[in-house]
Amino acid sequence: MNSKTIKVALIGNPNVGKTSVFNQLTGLNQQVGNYPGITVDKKMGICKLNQITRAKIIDLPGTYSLNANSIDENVVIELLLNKNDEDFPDVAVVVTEVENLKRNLLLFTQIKDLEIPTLLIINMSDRMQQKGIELNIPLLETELKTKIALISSRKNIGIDYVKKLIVNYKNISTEPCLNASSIDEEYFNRLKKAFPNQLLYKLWLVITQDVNFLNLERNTIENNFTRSHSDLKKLQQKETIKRYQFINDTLKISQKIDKSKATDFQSKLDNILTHKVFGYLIFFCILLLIFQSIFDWSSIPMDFIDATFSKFSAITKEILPQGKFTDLLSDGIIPGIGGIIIFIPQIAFLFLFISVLEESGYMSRVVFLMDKIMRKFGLSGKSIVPLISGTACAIPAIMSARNIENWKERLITILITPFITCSARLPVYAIIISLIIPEKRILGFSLQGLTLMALYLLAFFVAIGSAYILNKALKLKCKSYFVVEMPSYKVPQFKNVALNVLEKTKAFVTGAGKIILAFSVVLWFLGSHGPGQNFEKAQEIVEKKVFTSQQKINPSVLKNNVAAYKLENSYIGIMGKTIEPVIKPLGYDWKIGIAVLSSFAVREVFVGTLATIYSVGNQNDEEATIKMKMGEDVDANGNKIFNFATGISLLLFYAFAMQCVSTLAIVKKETNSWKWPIIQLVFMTGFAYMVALIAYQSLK
Amino acid sequence: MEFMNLQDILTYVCLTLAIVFLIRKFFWKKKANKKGCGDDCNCH
Repeated sequence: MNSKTIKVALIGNPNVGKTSVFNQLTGLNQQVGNYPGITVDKKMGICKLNQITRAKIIDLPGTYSLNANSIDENVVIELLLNKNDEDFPDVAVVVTEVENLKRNLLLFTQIKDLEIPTLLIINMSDRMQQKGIELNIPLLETELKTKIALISSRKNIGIDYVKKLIVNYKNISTEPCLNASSIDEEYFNRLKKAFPNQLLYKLWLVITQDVNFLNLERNTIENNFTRSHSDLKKLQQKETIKRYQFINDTLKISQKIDKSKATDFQSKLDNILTHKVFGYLIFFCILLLIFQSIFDWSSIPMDFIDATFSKFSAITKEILPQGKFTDLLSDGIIPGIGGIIIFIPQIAFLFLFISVLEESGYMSRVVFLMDKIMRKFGLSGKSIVPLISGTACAIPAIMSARNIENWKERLITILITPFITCSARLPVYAIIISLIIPEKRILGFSLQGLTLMALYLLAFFVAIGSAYILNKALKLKCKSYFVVEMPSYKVPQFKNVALNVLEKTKAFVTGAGKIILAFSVVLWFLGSHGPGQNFEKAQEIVEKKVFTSQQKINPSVLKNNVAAYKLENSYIGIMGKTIEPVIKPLGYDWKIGIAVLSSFAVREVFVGTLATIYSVGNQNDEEATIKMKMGEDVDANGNKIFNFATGISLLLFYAFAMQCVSTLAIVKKETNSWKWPIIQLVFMTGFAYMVALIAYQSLK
Repeated sequence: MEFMNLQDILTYVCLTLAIVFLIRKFFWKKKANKKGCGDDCNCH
């Protein structure tokens, strides 16, 4: 029997639980990619509908209407208007939620008018009783000329019925909700005469949006039908009013709301969480809890991973025959992989907390709370979304700034987002903090956790300080407004949180992991090979020195001295020594210098590089962890390399330096100019150098 | 002796793979995928 695949587009307003429905339908069968030519996330998944039918589901970006204002929203229109698109849907599934049905139905009526079979999902049905809402579904189905599934994605109610409706999508009427001519009869009649074979509402969208997938003569449209911007806006407003009239009439007969039944818990909670004093205090306490937990809960699995990889490295050396490949495995590849895996617990905990805050609806309150602060620094409340996303990675964060309509606010947000502590900095901070900050507790709080939190806050304040300067320096005048929706408070759904943590951790391991591994191999080679006699005859030279000094030396110390001498005279050692004059004022030796240099493309490489260098250069105790090797490393005078002053200098350097090629590339793409990424690179790195220099010189 | 040679070969294969991967990652620009659009979409 032949299997059949139905293409489904999942569409809806933000915060209606669309992703939750997507997760319920597809489970782990998900793929995240990009839309062609742009870098908006494209989420696709496969859902088995029955024995012979499966659905290819595309989770489109959240949008309030088909009148696009941002690139994300444009993606929805481009897909729905372009029949040539390989993902053009057989059926559109519009997700709405029971408490905001009126507003959500605007998008539904617009999609229905494109004459694509359109299913309506009303989500969060479990809240109906609590909110005193009653719906007459059969009547609503008749009025909206579609099939409706009343579901609760959180409680997995009604998902099977959605699958059934998708299988039978051909039975859904494609009759529009609104007659497009009613927007402006004279104008639309002319349009109909000029393009008799085209769907009127599609034509209207082609005129109002900058898209053209209907193979129309663009000149004909532009010469005869394009109106002034304000005229088109007026017609769009008229369309919206007409649609709301239709929606109001429909809901009047099919929906009943008993306001006396609705509990007012949400507004009471909002009063506290967005309070001008308590709101900030609560947010601060939540941050404190997050950073404490990241350090406290991660330490056990991290120590275990570190010890396991060190042991594994030693065993590899023991059981395999001596040779280059054995060395590459034990000193390059295994420490390299360990340098990636070790940070999984911390990254997973960070995203666990962020997902819980987002899922619960608290994050929108933070956005609202921060708007007051943001405005003073020339940013919009919407800037907080990229700034919070920046704690994961600056790249999607910079892309999410597309939601900001005001160009000046958007540009400032793009320029300051890389200051925010991203997950790539976390491994660097974690290893340095654990080396220089004692495992003490102050008032029950871990000192290491407090240091980590201080770094996150410092980055945030430097970011908004830079925004203030940029706001004064940039001579751009744009008007802006800020609207934020407060979704209902919800108990976070385990499946959504788990999938998000899994997706983000996987992205770290597979994305940065591959680069770190490749760097480890190259660095191992550069550290194990060198030019000239000094490297080749390291054993002889060191033995000769020992013999001349007439000191009695332990054979294992001698072995270690030879390894250190070889490393110093290897290619990497020579490179490190060359840059030493530049980095010495910051308190770094050549080994740290190499790690800083190699991490200019990708920050996380720092730890992997040090792991490789310390494995190659330390042959004494093979089971010692990288952290132990780094902690014990001393300079020629016997002083610890990773002392307090050097550690603080390194932390500050990594907090502010622009060390991410991908971020620079995305800034270039978003600003359409090399000017801004170059300014960013020079300013951030110069600032980082100065701050690190001042810190080291005053603390040493 | 034979095993030593095999170790060398494996090492250089790994090194070559790593270098090629890094060059592709940082210096090779991927071509934009255009197959999703129609003939006159005006979006490229």
